[in-house]
Amino acid sequence: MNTRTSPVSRFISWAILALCVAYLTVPLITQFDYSLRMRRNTLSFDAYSKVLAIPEGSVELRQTTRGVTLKMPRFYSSLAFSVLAGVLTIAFSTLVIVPTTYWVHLRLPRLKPVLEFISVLPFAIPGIVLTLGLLRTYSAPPFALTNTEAGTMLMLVGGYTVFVLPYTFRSIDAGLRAIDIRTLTDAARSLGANWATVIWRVILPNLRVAVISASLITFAVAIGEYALVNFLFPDERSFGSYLAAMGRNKIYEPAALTIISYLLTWGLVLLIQRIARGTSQPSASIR
Amino acid sequence: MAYLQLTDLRKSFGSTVAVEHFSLDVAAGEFVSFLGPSGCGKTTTMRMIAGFEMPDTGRITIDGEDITHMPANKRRVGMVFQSYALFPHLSVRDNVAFGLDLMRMPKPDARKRVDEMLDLVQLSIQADRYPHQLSGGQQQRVALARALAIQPRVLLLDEPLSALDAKIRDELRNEIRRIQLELKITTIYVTHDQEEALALSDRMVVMNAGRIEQIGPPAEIYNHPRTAFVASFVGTQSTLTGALTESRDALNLPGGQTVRFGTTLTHRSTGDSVTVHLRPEIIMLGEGADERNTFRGIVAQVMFLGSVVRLLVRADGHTLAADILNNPALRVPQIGETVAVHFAAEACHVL
Ligand SMILES: Nc1ncnc2c1ncn2[C@@H]1O[C@H](COP(=O)(O)OP(=O)(O)OP(=O)(O)O)[C@@H](O)[C@H]1O
Ligand SMILES: [Mg+2]
Repeated sequence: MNTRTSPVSRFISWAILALCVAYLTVPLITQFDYSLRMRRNTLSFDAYSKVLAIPEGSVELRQTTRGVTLKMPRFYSSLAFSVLAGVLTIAFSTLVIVPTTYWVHLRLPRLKPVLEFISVLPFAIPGIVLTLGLLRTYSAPPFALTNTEAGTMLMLVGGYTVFVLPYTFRSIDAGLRAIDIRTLTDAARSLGANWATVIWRVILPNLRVAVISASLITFAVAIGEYALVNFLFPDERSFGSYLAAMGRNKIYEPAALTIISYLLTWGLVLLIQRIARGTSQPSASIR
Repeated sequence: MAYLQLTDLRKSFGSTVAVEHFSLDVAAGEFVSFLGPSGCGKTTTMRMIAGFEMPDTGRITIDGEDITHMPANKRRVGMVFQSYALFPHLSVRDNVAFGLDLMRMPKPDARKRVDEMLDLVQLSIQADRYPHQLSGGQQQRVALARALAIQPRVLLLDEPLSALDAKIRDELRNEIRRIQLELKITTIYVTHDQEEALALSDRMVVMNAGRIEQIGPPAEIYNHPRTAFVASFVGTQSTLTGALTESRDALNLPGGQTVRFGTTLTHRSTGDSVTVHLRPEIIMLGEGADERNTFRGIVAQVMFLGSVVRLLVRADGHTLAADILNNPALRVPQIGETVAVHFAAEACHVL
């Protein structure tokens, strides 16, 4: 057996690693550098303050015929819109995927391959095809969801649920495999729990880590997505549209925004790890 | 009238018949155990009582109420599992309170009940721990407290001790019986450990291949097994098979030796193949008096079991297990030594 690697092959390994790291970091570093060059001849955070600034009078509560609306700078209003879409998607997809996967695990194990196949479809079908297909089908009668604001939002949430299905399904599927759902279900049932109670009070709490990591991926997608949201809300109120508009119209701000979204995403990843560590208790149960 | 009544239950999975012709009446407060080899349908029967499986045919009643098709969560039947099945995200206290909470019992009452239950299983000081912080034995106590908290009409235990160490197992076994007697709760206990079943039960149900072989109190099952399966499954047995003699109170072994048994088999005819079953504790070491059956053979194995020493003696092509009570002065025969063993005709169990 060859346990010692030759200096040459070791050099090659390191070189490949270095290339990969460079490939990922160089664009980020140049973006960062660029984002600091708004003021001539000196480095500054001007681009960031431009993006994040809340000028006086820009936040305003207004009474209109359609109710009370909150006006704020576009960075915040678009972020708020996309965060809302993300939260709704998390709620919707959890509500759909957890009970379905649970039931298939418990009662219909033969359907597991079917579920897995469906879950990877969004990977196999190009995003634009999915988007156009969804639009074609649900914006026309008999659904005609796009006729109302709520219907449009429902379509957006439904679309995002499909986009993130490969991640959410996999995460929840793994979570269900990690606990003995059959016996936990029986135990809960014998103590008087109906099916809804079993899912809500026994299964879901034990899928905490799985649901949270699925949620964060969902979040990241909801914040960055452009194609579907731009079709559904052409008034560019989403964060994705805002990013795109900035990219078209400004010079330094898009670079700053890139860094900001990058940090937002990292914050989410750190949060995932934090939560996962907090609950990964050694299991003392006997298999 | 029986409290828990199972009438002609049958359950199949596809082409496998897991249980059939299962009828049993259990009195209120009775402790009945199901004993049998792996796959004989013990768990399936229990799951039908719990409502996790629906029988194909047959009826289940508790206290006169037909619960055959009642959903599991309406039955108030407590269950304890081999794998404990505690809710990992809840503390000991919340695990025990789970069922009470679903019953919408007022908080102060529930708290009181939980305290009583934890007291009963001697876990009060661990009340705020989580399942993963407890030993297996402690987890199973919590599971017991949780099942008992809802004051179930019937308590079901499916091999609750199988995952535990021998020492803890004995301790918890006694505790389960103590609590059962204290609460007078009707209990079904599944096990494949015959010693456990013999030690705990008011009555035992011995099962084989989905059917009941025999129902009776432990002493009756042990001393008067009704089928060859029960005789060989419960307790260690030596068997001698031969042809019935003319007097029909003895058999001739193929080797020529005659074995007398205490009874006359009036319903069998001369020359029939007959088997006698012998418990190791009735076979003694040494030359027996004339009226006893004596065998001479070679010691094939010596097993030191603590309170007894078990000898396997090979005689005439048969292996006889003989237990001798242990004491420090005992001279244990060596492997290969020639010994005589004897047993009384009345001690033979003929099937
Ligand atoms: N859900 C199921 N699907 C198919 N077959 C099953 C199912 N449950 C039980 N069986 C079959 O029914 C028979 C009885 O099983 P059961 O679990 O009741 O046995 P058991 O006496 O509890 O055995 P053990 O001592 O191993 O627990 C077995 O042949 C088993 O394979
Ligand atoms: Mg079993």
